[in-house]
Amino acid sequence: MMAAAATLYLALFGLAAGMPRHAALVEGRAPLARFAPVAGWLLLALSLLLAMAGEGRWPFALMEWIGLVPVFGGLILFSLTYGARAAQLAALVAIVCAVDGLA
Amino acid sequence: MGGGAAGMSMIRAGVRQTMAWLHGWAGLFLGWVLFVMCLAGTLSVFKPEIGRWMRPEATARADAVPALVAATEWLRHDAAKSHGWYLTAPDARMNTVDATYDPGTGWVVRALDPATGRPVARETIGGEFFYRLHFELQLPYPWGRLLASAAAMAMLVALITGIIAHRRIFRDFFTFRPAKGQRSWLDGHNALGVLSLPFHLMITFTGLVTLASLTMPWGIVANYGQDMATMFQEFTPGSVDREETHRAAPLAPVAPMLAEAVRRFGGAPIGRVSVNHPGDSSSTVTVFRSDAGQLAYAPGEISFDGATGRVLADWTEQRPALKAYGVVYGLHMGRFAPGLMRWLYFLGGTMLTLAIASGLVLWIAKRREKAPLSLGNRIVERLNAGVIAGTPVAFMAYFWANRLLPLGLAGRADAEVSAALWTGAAALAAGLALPPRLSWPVLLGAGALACAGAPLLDDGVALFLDAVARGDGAIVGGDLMMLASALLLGGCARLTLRRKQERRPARAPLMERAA
Repeated sequence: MMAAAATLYLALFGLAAGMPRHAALVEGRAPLARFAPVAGWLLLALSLLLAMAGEGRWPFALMEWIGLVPVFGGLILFSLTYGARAAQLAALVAIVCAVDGLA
Repeated sequence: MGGGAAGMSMIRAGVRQTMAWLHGWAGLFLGWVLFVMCLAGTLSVFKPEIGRWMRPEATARADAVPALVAATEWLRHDAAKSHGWYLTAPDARMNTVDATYDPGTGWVVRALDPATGRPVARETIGGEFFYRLHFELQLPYPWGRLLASAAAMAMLVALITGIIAHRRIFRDFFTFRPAKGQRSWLDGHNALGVLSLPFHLMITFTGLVTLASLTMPWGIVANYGQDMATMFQEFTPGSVDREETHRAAPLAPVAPMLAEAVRRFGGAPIGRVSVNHPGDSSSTVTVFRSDAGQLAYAPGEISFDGATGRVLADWTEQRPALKAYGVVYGLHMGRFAPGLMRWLYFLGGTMLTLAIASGLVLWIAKRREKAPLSLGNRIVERLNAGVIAGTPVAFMAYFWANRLLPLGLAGRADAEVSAALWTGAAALAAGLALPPRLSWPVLLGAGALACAGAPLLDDGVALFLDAVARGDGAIVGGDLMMLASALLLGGCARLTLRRKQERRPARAPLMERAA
């Protein structure tokens, strides 16, 4: 579930970074911002697949995945409101967790 | 073509406006009832843990079978004349046996010690209060359930119209602009609603389905008329209830029946046990499999002849329609949810509760910025303070009563509930009587103090330290949650006080804009 959760965070981070209003997440790097929404949607689908294909029963995994969306979405929202640095650091941690979980 | 596109655009805008209007009114209609329902339902996620916090003396633990045997032995002597005993088995989350029986004074709900089978010292219904309040609203049957059902329907309408009215549902996913008055309330309301939207839709729809037999009884009436007994019999064929014969026959030992049930369940734990007409030759013992390990509610049951211990019926639900209903029901109850998912249920419930509260406040914030509030909206504003800030105070009064009332007090469990209801009524009266600039900080401050004080009552520090030593997560977690709630409510009280001080200078630019 760790890889699915980390990928879900990265997906939401990508979707947020692709919005002009939230470009602070990628500190105005235009190529990254352009690429972010597509990556976000792909990662979202991947995280759902990873969750459902995990060791546990898929209905439980689906419920957990749905429940984690507001947790990570809320984290990004608060970070965007009070300082984007926390969301960026969390994205780095999520990359490590996703790689570790997939390995 | 251009005219056609413009026309469609106008129609879309018109539809959105209509949906926004309906969203507002559907949310306001029964919005306060919904707030209480959602807060109580959210707390019900931790119903067993609340029960353990409220019975700190009951520390004994036992497996389900010996605990149920001990409970039936005690009931055999002390509630022999009860028409039935309805028992919920202890599990990893709850150490006592929850029993409903009639000791000769009317039906009572008691927690029985798993080792002795006797009622525990502190008479309380624990988390059952929040669970019942969530869908019965402390009103007599069927009025509470009907009101809860109407409120849930209003909630579903508000959710669907909110989605249609919301033009930029994804753009607002991550947006919150603080300290901007109405804009901040709208951002907060949108974020709370949108971030957890799948959960909100699921919990509202499944909640409506759980009460559907009451609100849409036509299918049942067409097939069974007034014969509800036959309907229940067909719905749960493994549950046998026979006509009382009034011929005495002692109840056979329960332990072999429970052991046989566990064997037939394939080792799955027991969830509930019903004993109908104990001591009568018609007595039956029905054992229900625990549904804690799966989504669907009530997956199967086995009935025994109470006098002989012979198996009368053995049923595992396989009918697709009832399995589907069981899944929908189970999703709402969330009893299957293990640790992390339980907290996600709690988070989803909290977000829905806050979305309702922010929507109610937004109703006033929107109108206050346009013109002076009408009499109706001034009443709404005061009701908002009384209900939104008053309900936590009422709920905390329940916990305070639990710690402060003497253990031997007759009708103690009812007195705890009365304390909550009277405090709620007083908070509502304060909200209506005081101007909102006073009632919000006063009620939120009272809630914060009540939360901070509850863990200290009745030698609470010693209880906490003892719970830490024993590794009792329910008491430790309960105390910590109350302290966290105290900080949150205290912070809100501080914000409302600060807003009161800032309100006057903030009006100037608006007036300039109007000019």
